[in-house]
Amino acid sequence: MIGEYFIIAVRNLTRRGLRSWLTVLGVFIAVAAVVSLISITKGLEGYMDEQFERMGTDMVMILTGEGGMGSFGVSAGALTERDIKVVDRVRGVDRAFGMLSGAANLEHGQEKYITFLLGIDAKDIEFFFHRMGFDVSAGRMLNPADRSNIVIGSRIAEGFFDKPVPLRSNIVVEGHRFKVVGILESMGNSQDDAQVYITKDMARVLMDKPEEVSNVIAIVRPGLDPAKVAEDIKEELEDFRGQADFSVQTANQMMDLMGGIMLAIQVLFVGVASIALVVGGIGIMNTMYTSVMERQREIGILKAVGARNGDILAIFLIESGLLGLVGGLLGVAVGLSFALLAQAGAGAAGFILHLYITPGLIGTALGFSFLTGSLSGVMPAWQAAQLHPVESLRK
Amino acid sequence: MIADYFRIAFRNLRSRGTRSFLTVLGIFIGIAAVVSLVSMGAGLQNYMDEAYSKIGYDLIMVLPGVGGTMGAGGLAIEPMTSKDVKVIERVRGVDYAAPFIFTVVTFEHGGQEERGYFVVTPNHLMDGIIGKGFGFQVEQGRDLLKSDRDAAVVGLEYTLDKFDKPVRLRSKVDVRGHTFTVVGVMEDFGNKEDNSNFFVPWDKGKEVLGVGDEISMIYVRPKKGFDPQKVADKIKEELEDHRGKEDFAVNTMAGMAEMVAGAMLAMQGLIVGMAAISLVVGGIGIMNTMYTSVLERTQEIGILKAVGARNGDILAIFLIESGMLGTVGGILGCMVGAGLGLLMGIGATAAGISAMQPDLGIHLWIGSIGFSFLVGSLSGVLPAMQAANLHPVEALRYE
Repeated sequence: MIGEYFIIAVRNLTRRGLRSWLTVLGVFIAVAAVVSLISITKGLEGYMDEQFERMGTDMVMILTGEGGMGSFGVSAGALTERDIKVVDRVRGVDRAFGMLSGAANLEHGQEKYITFLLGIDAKDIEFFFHRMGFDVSAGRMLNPADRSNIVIGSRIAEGFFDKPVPLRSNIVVEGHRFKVVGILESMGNSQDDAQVYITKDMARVLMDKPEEVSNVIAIVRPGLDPAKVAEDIKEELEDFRGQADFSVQTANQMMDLMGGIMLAIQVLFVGVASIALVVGGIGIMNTMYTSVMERQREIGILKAVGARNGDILAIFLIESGLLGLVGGLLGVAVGLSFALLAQAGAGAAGFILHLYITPGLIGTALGFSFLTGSLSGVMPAWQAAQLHPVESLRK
Repeated sequence: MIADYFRIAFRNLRSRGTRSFLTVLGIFIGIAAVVSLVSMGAGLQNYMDEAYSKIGYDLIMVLPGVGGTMGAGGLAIEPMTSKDVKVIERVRGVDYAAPFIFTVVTFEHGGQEERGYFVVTPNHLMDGIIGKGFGFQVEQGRDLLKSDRDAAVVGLEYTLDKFDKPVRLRSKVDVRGHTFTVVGVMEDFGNKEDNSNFFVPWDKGKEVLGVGDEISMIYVRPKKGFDPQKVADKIKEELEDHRGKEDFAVNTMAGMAEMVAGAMLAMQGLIVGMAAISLVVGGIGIMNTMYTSVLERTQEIGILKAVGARNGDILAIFLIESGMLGTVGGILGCMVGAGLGLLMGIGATAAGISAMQPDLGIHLWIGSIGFSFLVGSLSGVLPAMQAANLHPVEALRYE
């Protein structure tokens, strides 16, 4: 029975080839836009979540400034080594460490550029690199004994200077000569890949900052709630500093913040693109109304030989659902190709774009386009089903 | 002649009411989306232009940190000092250099604590430093004077819903145990961020923050008759010599305006581009309707040709019909889009972003209605050509 409905629907669609094709085209364009946008934005979101997960949700970050933006505007009230000690003593904190980061002049051959320098405490180097998931593609990690040795990002090694910076070559940072002992694997974004890493003691010398740290990171003991520990850190640090001129954030809070921004972008883009899907649905409705009108006689005959209203309804609903489904199939295929193309383009520009392509996304997109088609067909199909057999035969 | 074409086209559209209506609906939705989004973008651009001309395109801003990061994100920076101000003052063409200190602090008023931007102004340089530096004026009360010590001028946000008990003239606001008396309220900057500025005098502000010789940013006004860009380049040169490296940024207002306008245009292009996808889909709908129409009226076309209508006449009739579908959709879409734009503006104002107001200029109407006519006509070209090229005898025979 259902099989026959399908045969009738497919026959009707192929009979009006051009019209069916144009109707499908409308749905297809809309689905392609929505699918490619979701794939890219969801991929970006997933990538960010992954980054946070890798760094660990047991992390609490302390920055200067009350706005949570760091020492925005003034460096007074900077965090110091003494603040690290205070944080380290807070109950529930497994370990606390601080980095000193800032801009630095890099010289290689005749070329000179400014980039970001991170100074890490000798005792924390191994832990830090492990935690951040950094891996060297050549040479070795920084180790506590390194003084005039440096680990560089992949773009510094190649692409930043006209002349590549190979392992064991020399590079001048803020007037001091360093030997490259390690080159990091690409992290997929040009900013991270253009950083250099040295020991904190050397960074202090280069930047002439004997006490200051740029931020303090606390790792919470397993099993404890990072949010609670963050509260304690805030309290202790405020007592110690005399005022709350800093901000404390857990990894989860940062993740939520970023997630909120990503969601807003996603809703905006996908929402605007979805308008096209509505317009495509209206196109299906239009095609179905035309189809009902043209086939009044056929409907009359079907009814005369015993077809009930439900049968007619089913035939037309299947037809409109098929229009949506075929549009969805093409749209998913083209949309995902677009996303892959965007990925290739971003890759060429030095960014690794992670796409979100799952059976769930494909299934939802197909189901949604079938639903759009069927819903758009409801009113025309209903009209067809209600036709009076004798009157439709007379047309 | 043309009038006849219009009558034929109109009659045909009326006789297929539902289909014409649905086709128009498709275009209408697309145009409404595009019009509302474009009007918001244009409105925002207008606001920016106005704000920039208020501040003055000649303003030069000097910010510490590579690329002007000001130490955001915890990056250590070499702050600017009064020595840098001296260096800038000596550059040829500089009228005055006004240093500001700018950071986020917690304010206390009526037993409630809220965060805001604490702006230490160089009131010791001249009276009315806020108006001169920022271009925006004090609306209630007065600007800061050279003699002020414990006075403060607040952004609009403080007098609205930042605190349960609104801040007014002569209100007291505490920052880190120091008390300021409000002497002025700024006019609307158009966004929540700038409306959260809290301007205080130099000496007391520095005391509150506990900073030594440190400056967040320097506003520089070039003398009349000097090219701001050239003065900015010269400042950059001198400052780099003085500081030993380029760990700061010198921006002219004109340059920033251009950059912001470029970024906004890109963003607008992206969003409007996506909304335009629905217009393409709507256009395909018109094409579909027109093909159906040609098919249904094959006999009619045969008769018209038999009584002497030429290919051009048939083409014109069908093109007018599809153009009308587009235009009607465009007019309705414009009206609804304008309404949506106004609604978004009201929503934005309620959210404290009075800068987001739609610009519903006449060019937007003409542009979008003209565009929808074009979409309609273009979508009709292929079906109309098919109709025009029908063979009269075969068309008459068609059932």
